[in-house]
Amino acid sequence: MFLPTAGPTGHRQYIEYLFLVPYDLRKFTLVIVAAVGYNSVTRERVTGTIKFVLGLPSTRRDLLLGKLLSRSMILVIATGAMLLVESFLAASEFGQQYLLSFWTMGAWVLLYVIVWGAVVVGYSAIFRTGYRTLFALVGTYFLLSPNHGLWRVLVRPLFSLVFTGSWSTSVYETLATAPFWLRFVERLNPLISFWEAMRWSIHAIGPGEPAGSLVLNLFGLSVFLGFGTVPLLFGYYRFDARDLSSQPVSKQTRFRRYLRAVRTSSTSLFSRALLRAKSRTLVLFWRDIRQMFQNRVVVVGIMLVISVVTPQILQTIEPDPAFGMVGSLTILPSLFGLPTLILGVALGYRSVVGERVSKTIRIILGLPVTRHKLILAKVLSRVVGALFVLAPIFLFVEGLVILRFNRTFPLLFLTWSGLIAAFAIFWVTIAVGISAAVSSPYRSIAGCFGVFFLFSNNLGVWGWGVRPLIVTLFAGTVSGSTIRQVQDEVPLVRYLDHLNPFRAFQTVQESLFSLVGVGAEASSPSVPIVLFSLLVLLAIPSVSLHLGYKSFDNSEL
Amino acid sequence: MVVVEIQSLTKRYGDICAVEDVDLTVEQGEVFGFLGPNGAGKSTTINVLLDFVRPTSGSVSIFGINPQKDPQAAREHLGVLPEATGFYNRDTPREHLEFAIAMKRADDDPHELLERVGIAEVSDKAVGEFSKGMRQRLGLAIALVGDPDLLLLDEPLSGLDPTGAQTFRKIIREERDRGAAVFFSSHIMDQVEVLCDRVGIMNDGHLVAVDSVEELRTTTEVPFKLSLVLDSIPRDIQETLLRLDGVESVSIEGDGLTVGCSATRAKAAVVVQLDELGTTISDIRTDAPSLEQVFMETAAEVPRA
Repeated sequence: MFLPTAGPTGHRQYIEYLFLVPYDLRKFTLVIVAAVGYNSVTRERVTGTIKFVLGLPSTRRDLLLGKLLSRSMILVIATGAMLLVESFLAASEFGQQYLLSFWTMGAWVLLYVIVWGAVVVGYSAIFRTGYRTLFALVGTYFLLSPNHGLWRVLVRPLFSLVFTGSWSTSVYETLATAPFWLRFVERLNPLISFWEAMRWSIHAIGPGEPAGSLVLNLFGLSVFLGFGTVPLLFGYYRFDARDLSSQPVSKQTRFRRYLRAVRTSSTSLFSRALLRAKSRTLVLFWRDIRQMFQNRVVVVGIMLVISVVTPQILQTIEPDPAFGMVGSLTILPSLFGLPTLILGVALGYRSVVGERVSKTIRIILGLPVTRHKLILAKVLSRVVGALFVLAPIFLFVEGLVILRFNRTFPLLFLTWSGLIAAFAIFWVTIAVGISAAVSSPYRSIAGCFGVFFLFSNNLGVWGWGVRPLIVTLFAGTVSGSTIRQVQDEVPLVRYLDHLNPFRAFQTVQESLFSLVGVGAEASSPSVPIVLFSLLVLLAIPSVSLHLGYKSFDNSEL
Repeated sequence: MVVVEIQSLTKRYGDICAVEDVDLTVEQGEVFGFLGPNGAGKSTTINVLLDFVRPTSGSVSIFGINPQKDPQAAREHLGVLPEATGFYNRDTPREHLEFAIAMKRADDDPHELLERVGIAEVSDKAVGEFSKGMRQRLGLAIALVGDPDLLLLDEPLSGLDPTGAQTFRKIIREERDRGAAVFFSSHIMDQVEVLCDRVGIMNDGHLVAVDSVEELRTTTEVPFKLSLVLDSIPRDIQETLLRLDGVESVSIEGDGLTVGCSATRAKAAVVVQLDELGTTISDIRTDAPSLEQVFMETAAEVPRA
């Protein structure tokens, strides 16, 4: 377990420390909630064990309540253990007189995980697969997250428009000092309600003075509890009404059938023409393009990318006070860092292993095609898919640039869009390679994020482990005190550090922006290191793909 | 012409031997039934032929092509229905067939193929809504695309209702008449019995018998009953016959004599004995063992590891 708040707290104020603990835990515990609960009911249904359980003298309500209790118990034990460690650290740092306020906070955190546990068990009863449950959970958090989610971008401005006639909301030190309408509206968000009610109760116990109305906080608490109860009840009613032995013909299914009929009539000629393609790789390619965009994970991934980048683009494409118009365009590649990762993984992680798990690989490889051609078609279709998704976003950005700046910056457009496209291709290729090498989609996702956490500049093993090790092993005695200075003095360290594709990408990015005349001349990297970086950026996905293919080729189906 | 050749095929998974030292050939135009209980090694053998699984030792070839070395060339000749295959649940049977037709560069009409297997009326329904039997029929239709030289079908009868099984038998006969070879595994004996020119019996990874159904019946040591009608019943006939090797029971009913034999060789011995006793045999009838009896007897001969 690692929490930034754990360990020596230095000269931090107790109250500041006390709020940092739930701040850290609110996301960390969600990972545990997702891991513990996302498959709680769906797994029983997918594996068919539910028929065994319900064949015994038990009801669906018993099953759901049992799931809720067992998952809540695991969550409470796991979170409680973390809180125990924290309380020990807090007592040794600040003394035992604060334990009451600490455990008041602790009780709120435990309630937080129980409520999220109810949400995830409810979702698991609503949705047919674990994936949908996971996406619903992530989507819920993304909708409600006060700082990063749609709440800030969409819901809050919408309410602001209703109450004040303006899209923009003023910033307040605390919610307690905000106008009444905002204090009320914000408490419709259960995560904000939770936070405000916790803050109020901790201050009521001390230290500090409670700010804000008790009634509003009680209302907020009921919203927060309702946030857990509603999905659970809805999940129960859906689960109770569902036929477990066959596919029910729901409104959704009817709607899908209607869409299928429309699609069949409009595209069958087109798809037939494509399937008459001369090359079998091309047949597989077109087939996979269609399959890819029918996949819900891919669709959700694309929607996630669009919803993450759109607000950021709208905020970014403004003349930068420090660097002018081009300044805002040069940060676009870093703005797309996480979205391209999401896109690449969503498009690639099931590409091969999905066929294996669903056993459709037996149909494909029963036809005249080799495994090599299959991998080739997969990587081509997924790369084209990524570009197909990114192209409209690029055009949207360029349209915004023309609208706001009255200029086109064609060279700069090619540079930033090329960089983003290259990064997306990098992730797609990595994901397809991993997908070919493993035997389950979960491992594929884990592999992709493992690569990310290995190389990520901020979060990764490279930053705190590999890079310092390289410096220690190869730098010897140099005068530079920072890693950057050491790299400037010792070329070997610089090259070794560029084995990290993110670092290599950064170097290529700097050199390209410098080439089109928008980067700082002084920071322009040397030609050999740029060429080395390009080599690394080509080599890593190629190696991933090659190893994936080799593993797939040797695997038994 | 040999279409399938398996030589000394062995496949091990760690300490478990799924297939051991199997030799087998299938000829052009032949319907070959591959029998055996669950876990006997049938599917593993077929998976090796399809290059889904790699052999530990030995070799296989399809039309002289090693599927491990040139899988595409081998699959050019094949129509395949693998066991427990998946389908694209959101796609229709027509879309599955269009894909297979494009991959095989054939010019079949999807509707005709679906009609042939009896699911033409659901050609535009999503496969996700299909029953197991309908999926089997679709799998068979995919296997038929491009008039393959060899149909390789793993448990094709699994999940089929009687109408489906009848359709399957009709198609297999048509394919044989066309000149294609059919190699299929099954544990539904009565279906195999009426379809196959030859059968191979797998048990515990070993190929314990390969022959035509008729030959297997006559050569296998399967208990059977011999019914004889005599002009007169000799005295002490029961004691005399029971002394013969392979005779287990003798019963008399009027002029009829029913002899229970444990082995085929006992039949000749009974007839010779009756001749020596001077009685006239006016009728003789043997209740031939079913393929299931042959299978059970043959399988029992190889002790499980």
